[in-house]
Amino acid sequence: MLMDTVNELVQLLAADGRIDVKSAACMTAAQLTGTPEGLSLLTSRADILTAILHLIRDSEIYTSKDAMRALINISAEESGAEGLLALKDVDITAEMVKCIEDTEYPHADFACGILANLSKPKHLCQRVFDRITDGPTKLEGLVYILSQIDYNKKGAKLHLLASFISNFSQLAAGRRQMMDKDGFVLQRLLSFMDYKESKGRRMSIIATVHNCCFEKKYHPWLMGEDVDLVPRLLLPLAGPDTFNEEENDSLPFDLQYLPDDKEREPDPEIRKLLLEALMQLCITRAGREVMRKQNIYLILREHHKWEEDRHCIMLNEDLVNLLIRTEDEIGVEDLSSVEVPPDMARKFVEHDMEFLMTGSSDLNSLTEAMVEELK
Amino acid sequence: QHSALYIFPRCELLFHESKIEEKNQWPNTTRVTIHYNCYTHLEEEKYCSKVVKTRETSMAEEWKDKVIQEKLGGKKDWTDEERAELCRQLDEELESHIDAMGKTRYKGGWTEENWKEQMAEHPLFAPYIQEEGATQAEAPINPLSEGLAQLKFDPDHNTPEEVAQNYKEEGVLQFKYKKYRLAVANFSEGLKQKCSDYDLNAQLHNNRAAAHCHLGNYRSAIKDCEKAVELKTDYLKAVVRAVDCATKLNSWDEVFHWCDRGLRLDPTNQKLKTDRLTALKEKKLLERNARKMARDENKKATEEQNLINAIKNSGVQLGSTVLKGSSSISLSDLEPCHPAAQGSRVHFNESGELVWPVMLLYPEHHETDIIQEFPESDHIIDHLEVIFGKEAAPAPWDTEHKYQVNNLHVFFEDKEKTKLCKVDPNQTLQQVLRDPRYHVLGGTPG
Repeated sequence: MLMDTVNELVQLLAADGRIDVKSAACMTAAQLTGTPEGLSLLTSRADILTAILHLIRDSEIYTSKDAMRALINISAEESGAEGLLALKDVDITAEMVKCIEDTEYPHADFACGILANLSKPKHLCQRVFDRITDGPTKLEGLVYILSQIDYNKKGAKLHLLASFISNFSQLAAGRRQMMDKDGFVLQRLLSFMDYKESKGRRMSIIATVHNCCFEKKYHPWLMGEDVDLVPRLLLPLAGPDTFNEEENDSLPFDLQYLPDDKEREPDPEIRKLLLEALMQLCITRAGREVMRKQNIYLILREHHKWEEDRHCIMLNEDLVNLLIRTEDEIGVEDLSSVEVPPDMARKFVEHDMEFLMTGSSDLNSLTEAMVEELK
Repeated sequence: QHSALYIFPRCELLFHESKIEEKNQWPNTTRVTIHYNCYTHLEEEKYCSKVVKTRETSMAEEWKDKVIQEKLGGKKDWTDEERAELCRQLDEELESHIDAMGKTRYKGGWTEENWKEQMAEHPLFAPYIQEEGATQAEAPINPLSEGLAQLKFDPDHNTPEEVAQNYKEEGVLQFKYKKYRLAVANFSEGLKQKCSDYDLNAQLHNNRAAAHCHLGNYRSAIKDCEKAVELKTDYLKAVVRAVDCATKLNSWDEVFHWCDRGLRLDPTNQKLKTDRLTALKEKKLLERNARKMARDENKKATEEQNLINAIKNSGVQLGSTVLKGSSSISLSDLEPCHPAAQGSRVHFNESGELVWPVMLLYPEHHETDIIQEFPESDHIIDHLEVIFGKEAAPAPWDTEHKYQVNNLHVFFEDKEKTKLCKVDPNQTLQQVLRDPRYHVLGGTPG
């Protein structure tokens, strides 16, 4: 009985049907996705999914909108995402990319969302990434679209495109493609690191950069002239200028003479990402030396005075710790090569938790203990 | 019958056999007279012409007969049409006869030596070499050039594409000769054709942009590059040119915009990447300098405000020469008017006290002295010691050396300028200034 209804729904969703019929059917489908049972029902039927996909460019705007909404909900569930990607007749990623590329498509934001949902689970992300790379508009093309404000003429902001791109940064291949020296991908993203208009976009971009910092091999390039990441990571953490002339001149240009109304990044999650990224760049000795030369300690010092979030304070202190010490004291070129014995690791984690709870810090004794252990 | 005809150009004496005639005119003498049959010059001519005429007439007759015989089959009576036809035939024969004549060498052609100059001047090969600023209409144009120009550019004889192409070539030629304004004009004309060849139009825009660049019209050049890329989306050359123009204009945001577009077309393009980096650096420097300047100005403003506040709070009253009773004082009120005091406005010294420029007036001699830096905490008498003390030389106007320290009375004028109030020289400047009757004018206590 249910199957008959469902079959009927498929017929009603036919792209060449009557406008009002299609509209109602589409709305029904969208509403079904609101409930878990309805969602799993739709997911199980490839023909429904295909039918919905065909309606995303329907001339009736509400129909197409409902179709996109349905797809968003379906793709949000991992099973739904699997189902969509498994469709043989249509390539959902290609269809979505076409929607994004089309400057006149009104629901481009939904398309970005669908792609972001599809690429969130890690095992699916690789599949989506491969399809995008094989397609005409590769990652580079998408980043180019993202970098143009008001690309879409129908009001879609494409902020979620940033989320989609940041999902790719989960994959090593994705990161490597972004940081390809011959290409020009990562540099386009950098200017959005202080994009005030959308927290979502800002967060996604900074997350992408944060992930990219985990690739040690790329550190020299990231900290070099071409990208010059360090000042960009620090700018959101810097406040109004409180330094004298000499101190100012020792900083990178971006950070000099900041105006009195300079605001720091308001969201602690984002600040955390920034600090973690800076931490990653400190792994190698060369990286630490670059940071010391740029005298970022000053910025971190001021930030510490201002910061209230415990996690961020902790990260700040760790960072300063690495920068203040001389290389002799640190003694290790590459910190990622240090083997931390599991029990010490546990102790560190516990200690961190304690710090986060109470704000007290007994880091020094613990660090000394660790140094003793390693000797 | 052929007669041997001799035509002699000049008169020559002919010897003929002469008859010897005896003429018995003279008794018993024998005279020998030789008669020559000679022709004189004129006679010769007459003879010749006569002979020729005869020949001609006979020739004409002969020929006529011949022609009539050959062509007309001996026909002797003619109609008008027949005559006309005959004329035509005769014309043709004449033509072919002339052609058959040997071709002679054409004199007046270009020689090995002068062909280059001749070619440069010849309108077919030479461009319009005109002075900058002259329009095409003003310059005297070789009619041949004009004719050629009309042929090339005449829309009746050419399709729009051809005309546009010709204008493009013309413009390129001008460009080579560094006549950039003319090049621009040519490219513009080419674009006016609105021909349907997008590529050609894109090239015209690009070329015009190049010409504008050389003229320093970077803004116009960028506009043309924009059009060029609109027509031909992968026109990297135009994009690069726009980057260069924007760089020349120091318009860094535009440089970014164009670099981004170019790098979309060619992500490996190192030049664009470098240009973008340079622009980034310049922009950062600009922004930083702007911030620094803003900061310095702020600082200055705050310091000035502090000074004014300090003076206000210390109870010193300022009188403005312009406006009496104004409550808000600005720094300009404190600017000394006296020339000698210029540049030593009241300020804070290291110990944080106010230092004033002070004017001493000597009404008796209509003289003044300026003490440029008089800390408030100093006693008046100390400064008087310096000026009028035992070690100091007397002032040039103090001829009687009357002005000695212990002899001096110091006064100030009260604010209504009605009377002089006595000042105790042992007081500090600060104490004097705070006297409610006292008014500091022009930032210079007097």
